[in-house]
Parts: sequence; structure tokens; C-alpha cells
Amino acid sequence: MRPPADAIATLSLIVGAIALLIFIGVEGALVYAIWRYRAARHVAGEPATFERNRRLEIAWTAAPAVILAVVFVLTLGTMAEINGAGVAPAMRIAATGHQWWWEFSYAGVATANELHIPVDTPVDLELTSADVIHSFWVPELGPKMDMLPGVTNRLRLFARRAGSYDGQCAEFCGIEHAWMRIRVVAQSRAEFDTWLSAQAAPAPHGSEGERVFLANICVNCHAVRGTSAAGTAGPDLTHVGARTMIGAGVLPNDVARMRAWLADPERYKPGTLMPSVPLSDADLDAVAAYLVSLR
Amino acid sequence: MIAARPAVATNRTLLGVVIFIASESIFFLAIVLAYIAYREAGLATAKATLDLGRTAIFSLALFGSSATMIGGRLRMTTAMLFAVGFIAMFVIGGLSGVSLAVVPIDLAVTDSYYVVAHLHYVLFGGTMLGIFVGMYWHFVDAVWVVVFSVVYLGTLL
Amino acid sequence: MRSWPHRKNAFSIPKPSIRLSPCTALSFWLSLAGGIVLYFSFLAGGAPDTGWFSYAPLAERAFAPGTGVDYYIVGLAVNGAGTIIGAINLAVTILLMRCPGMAISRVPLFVWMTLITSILILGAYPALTAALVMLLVDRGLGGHFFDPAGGGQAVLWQHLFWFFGHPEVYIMILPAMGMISEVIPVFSRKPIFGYAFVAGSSVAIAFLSFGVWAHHMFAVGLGDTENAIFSATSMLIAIPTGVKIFNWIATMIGGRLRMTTAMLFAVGFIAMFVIGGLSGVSLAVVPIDLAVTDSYYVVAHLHYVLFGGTMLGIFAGAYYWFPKMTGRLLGEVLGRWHFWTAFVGLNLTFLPQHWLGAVGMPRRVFTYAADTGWGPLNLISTIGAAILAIAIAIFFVNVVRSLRSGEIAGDDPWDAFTLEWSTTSPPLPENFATIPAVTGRRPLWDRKHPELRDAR
Repeated sequence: MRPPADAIATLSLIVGAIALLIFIGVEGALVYAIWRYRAARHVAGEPATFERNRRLEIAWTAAPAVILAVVFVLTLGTMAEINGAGVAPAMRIAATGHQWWWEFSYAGVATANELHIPVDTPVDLELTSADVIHSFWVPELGPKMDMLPGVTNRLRLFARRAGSYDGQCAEFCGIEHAWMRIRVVAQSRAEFDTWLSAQAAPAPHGSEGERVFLANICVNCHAVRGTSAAGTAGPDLTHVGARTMIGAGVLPNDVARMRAWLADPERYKPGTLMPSVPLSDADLDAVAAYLVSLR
Repeated sequence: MIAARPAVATNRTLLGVVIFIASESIFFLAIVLAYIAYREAGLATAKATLDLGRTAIFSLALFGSSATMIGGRLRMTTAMLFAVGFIAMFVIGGLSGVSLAVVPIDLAVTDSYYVVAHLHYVLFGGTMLGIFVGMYWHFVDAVWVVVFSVVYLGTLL
Repeated sequence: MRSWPHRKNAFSIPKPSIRLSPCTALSFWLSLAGGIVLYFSFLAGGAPDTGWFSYAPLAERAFAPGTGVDYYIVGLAVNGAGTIIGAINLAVTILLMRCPGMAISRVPLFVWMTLITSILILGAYPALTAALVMLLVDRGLGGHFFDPAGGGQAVLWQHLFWFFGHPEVYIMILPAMGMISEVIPVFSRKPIFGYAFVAGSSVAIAFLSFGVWAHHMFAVGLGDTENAIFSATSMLIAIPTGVKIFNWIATMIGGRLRMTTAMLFAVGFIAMFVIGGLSGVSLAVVPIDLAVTDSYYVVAHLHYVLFGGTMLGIFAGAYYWFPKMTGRLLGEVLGRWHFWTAFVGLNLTFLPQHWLGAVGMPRRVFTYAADTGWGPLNLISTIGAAILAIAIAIFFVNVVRSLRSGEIAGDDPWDAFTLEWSTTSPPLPENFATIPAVTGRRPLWDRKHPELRDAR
């Protein structure tokens, strides 16, 4: 299938060209009227008072109607195409919006904020929300679709080119709406399969950071598969070290910044639902190192 | 020529009230439609909390109060007292035994209807429409017939 | 029968001089009170922070625990009650209180648009009030209208809100269209072209505007059939809108154009509204809408309609009727500065936003990543906004200066067509000393040019 973004781009060009022609025609007529009939050019006396013409009225009612009928037919065709009509999805991924992060689930393997998809593969996102209304939008991949609590919407994704595509929430969802970024990583099928099997594996054990993590309130909200941490209010951290960004886009992911984020999330994302956990400097170092090591 | 025109095409106040009632119908229609859309979710609580018999008697009182509106402005204060007393009775009767924390959608609808009807009654009856308030009061009856049928009789289905 | 105190007044244009009517006073004070309640929220612990559209469930108590949304609900409901009363007042005035000879087919187009606007208000506002009452019940009484966990639906709010919200757009634009429908004929020295079509297209717009609300909800997931239906109705509404534009231009063709400030703004309205209209059609195309809705493209579109359209139209009306209201002309020199700064400012501000939206800048974000490359266009937008601010400042300076020392206007400074220009500036308390005779659509023209009298 053709990527939805390409179908929309083609349709936009057609509609844009029609709009440009109408724009030139109407604005041209307006400018001509101003130039040709300005008072300075006028001969003496009152102008002729023609004030109606049924044929003209019919013409400029019917002509836009015909143009719009054509646009409407094109619209219907493209609507079906971007929905993936007739092309079954090769994969379904559940996506859930939260204030202010994204949960993605590959048949039970949960991750957050970074969506990996294979290229040249029709993928269906099944969208819902855990709280308020969000909207999934990655501009380069085309259309957006809202995520409503209690409803599951479907969005067809299809990436032709491997690489990283950035997007973000497109429905105002509260104070940190601007910091609800998405990164879509499109990979070759082999790379994707490698990534997915790594994500499916449980986290390794034995570090000091793990002990601190499990002994504190972190576990109330976060899950790390393979440990006792099973919270669901915040992102799954089983492989948080493999993500490029922290906090749905606020900071690049490395040990120093992870430590700064843990020490004071409010500083980077005011209004975030993540509290700052009172930890000693040594414990902060340990947890930051632990989380970034979860690759 | 003028004699042949209907009253609504010559009497400004009457036309104003008719337009207002038409506009208000959309308000009540939206709320009743919302109730119908959510009926499944609220039916059990509606059955458990709504008192059909007592409300039917109260409805008669409502229609009675409407009858007092016929005949003009002098009786308006009486009707208003009657209405206020009735609303107070209904609120006490209707809310008794209903825990505030679990007010169901249905009760919320009927309550808000009373509040809004009363509010509009005072607002428009008192300030704007004079003797034509009777018409609005009859409109409230009509709305109540719909609400009673949909919400109260709906629990029997 | 009871009669309103102004009953003896003659209505030239049936624009109501109803300053003594309790109905007008109630409408005004309720609207003002609603606004004050809304703004009082800033002092009372926080403004409503859920957007002007206040989508549920973000506006529910669980996600908006402050009092801001409660003030939003009460303020809008009270303001809406005032607006509804005002609309009843205007509709009744226009329908029943015209002076002898002023058939409905002869009233000025501004009055026609006011009538249509009133009807739109009467149909649209009750839906918003109903939604507000439901939200108040949810927030205050533990209801679940918009709470999926309790059996409600988040999308219900959007249906009710946009059933109000889209007609509201026409409520804002139609009066401005009415104003320029008065200004363009007078400064073209011609009657309006296609009076019946300009008036009738408003009726079509009003009718269609109640059937297009879900084009704000294409991305909600209503389904292809619903989206296709609302796409079709939204495209249809472009036809009567286009009819208006063609008739305005046809009015200018063959005329003798005096490019006063009022006329500049009226022509600016047409030029800018065409852009807003065309981008509006592109948003009716569902796949394009799915790509650019909730982006800056929509911000650009709505500002070309509401600033390029409504605001320029209101300025045209301000320069046109200021002498009638005050007895003095609004300065033409500052007026030209006002027009050109506004025209340049609005295009600098809003034109780049089409591109920003098309490349993916979402609405309602306070920050974006530097590597998006949106910085330069946003800078142009900011500069444009500063120029717009200067334009508005020039307008206010002009108003103050003209009030104090503007040129005395006289009764009929524009050699105009309609009856308000036959009385003094400002008008007498009872509008006219004697009830004027109305023989056609341009009664004052007929009086000044008995030999060129209009046919109707």
C-alpha cells in the first residue's frame, strides 16, 4: 500500500491547486474592480445601476458546486485509502494515552513514548486513553487520531523509509500537553524483531540501584518485569535505558540527566504527576545508573 | 388586512415568548436525549431510587399550578408561592434516602430540570414577559410530561 | 396591552433604538455579569485551564480540581442567557417593528444578517447551556455524563459543544458580512448586486450551519460514513458563502469607487475572507483535516475568517457609522495607517502559520524542539502580531482624537442610501422627528434622486 502521508500529500496538492486557481480568479476580479472603477477614472454622473442577473447568480452557484463535487469524490477515495481499506494489518499495537506519556503494548510487551515499527508493513494502532482525551500524531506519517477514554480507535501506520519520526499529542490534554512527545522508530524487519525480543526479556538482577528502586515508592507507579515492581500508573521501565529520551521528550537519556530528572522532575516538566523521591545522593546515583542500564 | 393576521404576527410579546420557548426546547431536547443515550447505564439506579407514585401525585400539583396561571397577572404571586412550595417539597421527597455520593444521572437530570425551569420562570416571569409567563409555565408542563414519560415511566419498561 | 416604551418610535432601518426596553437592559446586564463571573475566576483561585472548548473529561473534577471550570460554566451560562434574550429582542424588533413601507424584502442587508444571527443564537446557545448544565452536574453532584467509567461518553460534550460552536462562527461572521454589505454599495455608488441572493445565501448558511458541527470531530473516530456526511455538508456551505463574495465584487463592477477607510476595510474583508474560505474547504476534506486539524493550519484558517473577516468588517462598520454615532468623522489619515498596518500585520502573523501547521506544529503548545525548524516562521508571526498591536493602538488613538476634534460630519457624510443617514448625527432620542417614507431598498437615495428611483 501507499503510505497514508503520500495519499494525503497528493490530495492536498490537487485541492491546493484548485484553491490557488480560485484565489487568483477572485482576488484578480477584486483588484481589477478596484483599479478599473476607482472614482478618479470615472466620468461625470451616477454609475449605471444594474443590480441583478439571474444567469450570473446561477453560474456562480453551480460552478463551485461542480468543483466541490469533484473534491468530494476525491475525498471519499483517499479516506478509504488511508484507512487501509482492503489491506489487512500485519501487526496490531495497543497505544494508550496518559497525562503526559504514551504507553505502547506489543501483545503484552509494554514500552513507553517510543514506538518501534517495521518498515513497509501495514501496522494498526489501537488507540485509547487512560484519563483525558489525547491525539496520536506523527506528521510525517500522515493523519492523526484521537484517543478517548472508554473507546478504541484505529489508526493505520505505514512507513516506507527507515528512521526516526517525531510527533506529539495533538489534543490539549492539560498543563504538560506540550511535553507529550512521540518518537516513532521505523526499522527493517530484522532489526525490529531483534528489538522486540530484547524488549520481551525480563530485566537483569543484582545491582544496588535495583535494591534502592524496589525499596522506594517508585514501585507504586512503575513496573520492571522480572522484579516485584508492577505499578501501572507510570511508564513500564523494564527497558527504559533503550529509549532515547526521558519524560516523553524533555531530556536526552543518559545517567547524568536521569539523575537530574529523578532528583527534581518538576523542574523539567512542571505539573508532571511524577513526584520527586527524597533519596540520598548515593541512592540517586545508583538508581540512575540502574535505570539507564536497563537496555 | 391586519385583522386577518394571527396574533403571533402582530403581538411582539407573544412572538418573543414563542421564540423563547422554541429556543428552550432545544435545551430540554439535548438533556432528554442525553438521558435516553445513557438509559442503559442508569436504569438500575433509576428503578431503585425513583418514586413513581409520589411523583405522579406531584405532577398533578404541577398541572394544577399551571391552571392557576390562566387568567392573568394578579394570580402570579400565588402561583409563584405555590411553585416554590412545590419545588421545596419535591426536592425533600425526591432526595430523601439518596446518598449524595451516588446521585445517579437520572436524578441529576430531573433536578437540573427543576432548577433551570425555576430559574427561567423567575428570571423571565418576573422581569420580562408579564402575563405571558403563563405560556412558559404551560411549556414547563409539556416538558414535564416528556420527562415523566421518559424518566419515570421508562423505569417500568 | 403592555407596550414597550419605545412603541411610538418609528424604525427607519429596523435597527432597534430600544435603549429603554427592559429586554435590552436585561440582555446587556446578563451578558456583562456572565463576563465578569468568567474573569472573576482569575481572582478566585485560577482561570479555567482546560481550553476555550473545555473538553470533557479534562474539564471534569478529577482532572480540573480548581474552581476555574465552575466559573467558566456559570459565566458562559449567564452570558448565554443574556445573548438569547438579546436575540429574541432583535428578532422580534426586525419581524414586527418596521416602519410603514419597510417590507422584509426592503430592509438593509445588515438587518437581514442580524435577523439570521439571532436565529442562529436561538438554535445554538441552548445546546451549550445543556452541555454546561451536564458538566456542572458531573462536577458538583457526582453525575457521569462525560465519564466513561460511570456509563457516560466523553464524545457527548464535543457533540453538544460543536452543535453550538459551529453556528457560533457564523454568529460572529454574519454581522460583519452585513456591515460590508452596507458599506460596499454606498462607496460604489450602486445598489447591492443580487440583494435577494445575498440575503437568501445567509438563510442557506444558517440552515447548513446546524448540520456541519462534526467537521470539528473528524479525528474523534466517528466512522467513515459520518465523516463523509459532515464533509459533504461542510463543503456545501462554501457555496452560499461564495455567492456572497461574487455579489459583493459584482456590486463594485461598474461603480464609482471611493476608497475611503471604511471601503478599504470592506475590500480587505473580501480579500482576506477568500483565503479563510478556501482553507476552510480544504479542512472539509477529511484526509487533509486528519493531517492538519489541531495544528497551526487551523489557527491560520480561523484567524483569516475571524480577524481577516469579522474584525476587518467591524472596522469597516466602525469607520462607516462612527459619524452617525458621534457626529464627527473618524480620521481618514490615521484610518489609512490603521488599515495598512492591520492588513500587513495580519498577513505576517497568520500566513506563515499555514506552513507551520502543514509541517506539523500542533496548537496549544508553549514550547517545541529547536530542531523542528519552526523558529523563523514563528518569529515572523511574532513580528506580525506586534504590528497588529500597533494597528489596534492607532485605531484607539484615532477614536479618541476624532471624538475630541474630528471633522463635523453632518447628517449624511457619505451620500448614503439608508434611512439612518436622513436623521441628525447623532440621532434624536426618538430617532426621527417624523416617520420617514420608505419606497424602496434605498429610501434616502430615492429621496435625493427622485428621477432615478429604485424599482423596489
